[in-house]
Amino acid sequence: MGTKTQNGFLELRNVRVEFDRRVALRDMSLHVMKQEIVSVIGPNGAGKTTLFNVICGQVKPTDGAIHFNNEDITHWPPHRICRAGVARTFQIAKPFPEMSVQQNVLVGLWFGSKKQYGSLTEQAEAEELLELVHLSAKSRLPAKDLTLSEQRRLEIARALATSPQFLLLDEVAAGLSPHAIKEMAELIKALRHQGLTLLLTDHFLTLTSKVSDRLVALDQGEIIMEGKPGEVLQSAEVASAYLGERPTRNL
Amino acid sequence: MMRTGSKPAAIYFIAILLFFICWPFLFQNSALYYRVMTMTFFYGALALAWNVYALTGNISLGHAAFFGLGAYGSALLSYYWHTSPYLTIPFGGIVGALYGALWYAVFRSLRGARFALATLASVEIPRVIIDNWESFTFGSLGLIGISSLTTLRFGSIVIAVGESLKAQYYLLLCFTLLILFIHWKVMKSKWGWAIRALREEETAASMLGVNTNFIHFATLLLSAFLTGLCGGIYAHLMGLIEPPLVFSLHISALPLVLTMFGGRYLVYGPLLGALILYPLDQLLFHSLLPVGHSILYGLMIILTLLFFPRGIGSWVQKRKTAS
Repeated sequence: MGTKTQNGFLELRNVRVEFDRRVALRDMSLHVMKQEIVSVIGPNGAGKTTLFNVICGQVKPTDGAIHFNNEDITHWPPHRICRAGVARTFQIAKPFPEMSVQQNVLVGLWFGSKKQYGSLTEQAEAEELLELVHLSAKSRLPAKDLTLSEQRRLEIARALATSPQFLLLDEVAAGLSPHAIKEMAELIKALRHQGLTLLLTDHFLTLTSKVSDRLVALDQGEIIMEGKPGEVLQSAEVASAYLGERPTRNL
Repeated sequence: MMRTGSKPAAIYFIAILLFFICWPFLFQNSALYYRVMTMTFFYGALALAWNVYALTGNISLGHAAFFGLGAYGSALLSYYWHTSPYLTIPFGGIVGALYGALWYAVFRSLRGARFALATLASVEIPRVIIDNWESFTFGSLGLIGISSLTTLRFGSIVIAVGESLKAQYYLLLCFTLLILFIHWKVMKSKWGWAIRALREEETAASMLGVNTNFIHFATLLLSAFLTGLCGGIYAHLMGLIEPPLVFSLHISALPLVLTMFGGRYLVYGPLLGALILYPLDQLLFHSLLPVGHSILYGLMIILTLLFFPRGIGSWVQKRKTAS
């Protein structure tokens, strides 16, 4: 065990993830400060979703350590990480299809937060969260009847129901109209204002460059650059990773 | 939550229960009906026990393993130590649960078809061991002369469960009500929501704080225990067991058929399936087609899957909510 550092709310230390000898994350070190908004960008297959999966405990790292809120969560099961205050959404929405929209949120309230099952205020609380993502009108419908973009908004409400301190939003802007992107940006800023820390991924950079404090550019499982949004987006290396021309890097 | 319409449901339940309590007084000397209805409730209990784990979405084809181990566990204990069947039957449940714990340890990462095939294969292990351990289990000869359910005495009330078919019927009715109560508790509680969440989307459930591993473990253990109890009761009810009888595919598959027919996601679904199909098979099809009567189960499962994919109970449910 190294010395306990106080600097990062979330810290990845040399995290390595391999699937059948294919390296998905290559000794990645990353720290996110409290109430920071950090976006992870990179082309398909760069390792963004794997990074999310490893933070949430869905994938266990081959090597390295993950610390959250000064606790080593590397080997914790997903539900425990959730209860410690980490919530996420999925790139491809994973609602409970046969449950109603409201019930989807209630599951988050009951199991992720300390909310008592069968309490009197639970439905009102669920409705409040659905209001936030403009789904109140559909709260009685089965989740499978929602459109894809509605399902993604439901995921945000459901993740917030677990009363997280740290929220990971996978591909927040995918499939959103320009107007919806603006609203999402407002929501993200409001959440930060309430004390949340956010880690986002965004394939198209439309949203993240506007709200993020910091961008982290990934390519082939490695951080190739990190810094202020303007700096990172102007970098030739990041641009070439997106365009697919890979310059030989000096190591 | 979910309180709407619970009052009429309670009235239906009490009315149906009264019917099953009272009908034997109308048919005083009908051994056939008593026997068939006893077994109906028996298979209803078996289907309910099976569904406790199937609610997680994992379909087992190997519950005969718990059943057979429960039957042998209970029968051997009562044979060698002359313990009362009412004590050995719970022991049978524990033996079943132990094998359930082993399933969890070995099959925990399997889902869907791979899980079903693994469970199907796992029945062979206890069956072969019991078949060959002749000095202890009497092997393929079977265990004959198992102590029948002994007489119950409550003060001046004496119930000769061993001899009276009527007493056996009421005993099984009570047992099934107990399992129905457990099944209801499992479904309509916070636990039930965890089970449902993990059935519908396991990854999302774990990300929302549902301890999915524990749910798998606990429901499997409970299901195995209850199935073991059924096995124990069966041994003492029949007085005779042999490996091919208690470890048969029939025991594994029948709960599935009854549950699919009655409705997998309804509290009373598995029991409803048993109440309709088993008497139909025994009283009607058995006399029409003495040899191939179990064709009914095959036919029914095909018709159910084609026309009532959520079971016949879902149709009742729909009419109730529509009215």
